[in-house]
Amino acid sequence: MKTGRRDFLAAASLAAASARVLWPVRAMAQSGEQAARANSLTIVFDERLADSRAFAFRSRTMGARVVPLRDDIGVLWFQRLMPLAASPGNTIAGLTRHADAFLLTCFAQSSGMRATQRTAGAHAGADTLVMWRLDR
Amino acid sequence: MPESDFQQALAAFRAIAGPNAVLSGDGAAQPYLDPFAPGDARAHEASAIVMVSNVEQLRAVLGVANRYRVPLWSVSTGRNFAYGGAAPRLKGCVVLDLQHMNRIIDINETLGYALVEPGVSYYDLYQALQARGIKLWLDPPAAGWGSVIGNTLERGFGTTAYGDHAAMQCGMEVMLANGEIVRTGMGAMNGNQDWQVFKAGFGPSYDSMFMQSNFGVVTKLGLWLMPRPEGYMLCRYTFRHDADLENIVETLRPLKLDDTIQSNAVIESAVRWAAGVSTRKQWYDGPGAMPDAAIETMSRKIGIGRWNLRFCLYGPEALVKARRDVIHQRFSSIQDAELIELPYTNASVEPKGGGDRSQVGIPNLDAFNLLNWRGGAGAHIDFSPVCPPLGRDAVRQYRMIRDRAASYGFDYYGGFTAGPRSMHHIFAAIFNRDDPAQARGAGDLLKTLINEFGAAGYAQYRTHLAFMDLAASQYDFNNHALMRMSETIKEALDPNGILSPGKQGIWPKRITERD
Repeated sequence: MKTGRRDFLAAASLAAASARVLWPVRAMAQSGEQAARANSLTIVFDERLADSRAFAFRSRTMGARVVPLRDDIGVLWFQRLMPLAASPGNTIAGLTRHADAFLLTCFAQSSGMRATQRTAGAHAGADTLVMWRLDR
Repeated sequence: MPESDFQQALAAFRAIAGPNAVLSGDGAAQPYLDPFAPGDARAHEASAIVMVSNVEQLRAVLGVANRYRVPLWSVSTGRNFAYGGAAPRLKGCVVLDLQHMNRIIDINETLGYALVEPGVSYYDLYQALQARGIKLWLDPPAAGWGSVIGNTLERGFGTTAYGDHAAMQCGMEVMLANGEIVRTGMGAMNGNQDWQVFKAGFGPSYDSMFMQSNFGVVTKLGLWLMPRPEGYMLCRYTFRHDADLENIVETLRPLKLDDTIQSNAVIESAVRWAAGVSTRKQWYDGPGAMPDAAIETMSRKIGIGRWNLRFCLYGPEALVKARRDVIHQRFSSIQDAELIELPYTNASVEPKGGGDRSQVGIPNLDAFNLLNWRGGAGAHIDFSPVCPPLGRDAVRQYRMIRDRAASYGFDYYGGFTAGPRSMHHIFAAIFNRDDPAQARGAGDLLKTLINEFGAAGYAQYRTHLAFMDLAASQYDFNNHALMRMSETIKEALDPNGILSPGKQGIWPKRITERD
């Protein structure tokens, strides 16, 4: 699945309008793949952040699998996400703080995944949240 | 080198390691750029990547590199962020990526050691210990995703009783530039069983020659693992006053020297602690470094000290509590010091927080929370001088860094990790990498600190790629005699200069264009 620049920027605009939760899911729908891919989308969320929780909730209603960050992002990667990353067709996305986005992007790139990131507009600055997405 | 030679070398690398094991062309080196570069990351951009899976491939790759004089930059997993990551010192090197050499060759529970290849991370080794039910602890560095070999060779450290990683290394296998395999210590003898239990062997000992150096490629490394104790007690002191640092260090030193405190002990500034649990904007959103009044308010609201000391005690409950009592009696002489101890805990029970988990041998990545401190695309580079465990030196170094950092607009995010006879003083210049002025400022600050500390008689144990020459130049006894010796060894072992040119300031003679 590929998302063009227009979709990506549209998603960022959605974020600024508090509709960012739709970004990865909407992008899939726009490319006509939602039904086929609903089960292959995994959303990582930070249970401490309201926006991230909302993002996960909305994504789940659209068929995505949701995974909380919990205590250790390394454990999350090795136990939950790396097996997903190893299979073609899986997309992992999230709305998290910069540090978590950075770590998961590094992990994913070392597994051969492609990463796209966008700072969520409403949160740019000191409380930066980042929308990110990992595809093979 | 001529482009045609370079392309022939890449073709030869592909023939050796497979077509998917060589990355070249536009964007190929992107994942190997330094994500925290204090300036233009492309100043240290690789020309290509070659990934080898075993020593036979490695030997063949070195042969090609010698034939075409291709400079290689070896990395284990390349996660040495804050010091350059996987990027080479010399732009245009081919990164020799060893992450696919990732076998855990041996774990010996009886004698307490492991033998690993370069691609084995702390997470990998931890998972292997857990899966096999082996009652040994590893000592993770702050960022547990790195390579065991990589961190040990860089003389990294952690916070258990086995926190001096280089000191816990025992036995190496090294491939020299000419493809010859050497084993150090007892490994030099066929059939000997003591490779991972006796360091010296017979005659000269060379292990540390391959640490922070470019004299060979380490392909196997033994390290000692800590027998899992019966239980542990996590301890933390908060100290209310900025001026307490001298007394903290003076009180701590004898307790470390006589091993009353078994773990490495960590003295953290308020900002360093706060960056793990909050963001800067919550406390201060103005220009320049955080004012002292803001740090004071922040400390009180979070419930931390201006300085915070953490350590861990290990063993049977009676012994742990006896140690705790001695320690508490000593530190209670510091006004307003408060001990926060967690209950004595059976070793099978894991603590929650990242720093606490590190002290019981569990790798984690909580240290990266600092990336959120300043906002934006957080990054950091570290200044890492060695400090004697003397109160006056600790205070002097702290003030030098704090004041200079403030003049560049950076907070003092720092602390000391104390062993028995030395401390690693680590200061992180945290910046938003999307802000070129901040990134440049961090680089300029580091250069200034290296020079000012050099003038004061202090030097670093480790540094970012961009400052390796400058840091090495501070070691100037007898007109840099040590560097001349290193260069002599380099020429003898690697006459074509193919291994990691410029690593730690050691350059082969044939490479004169260095920046």
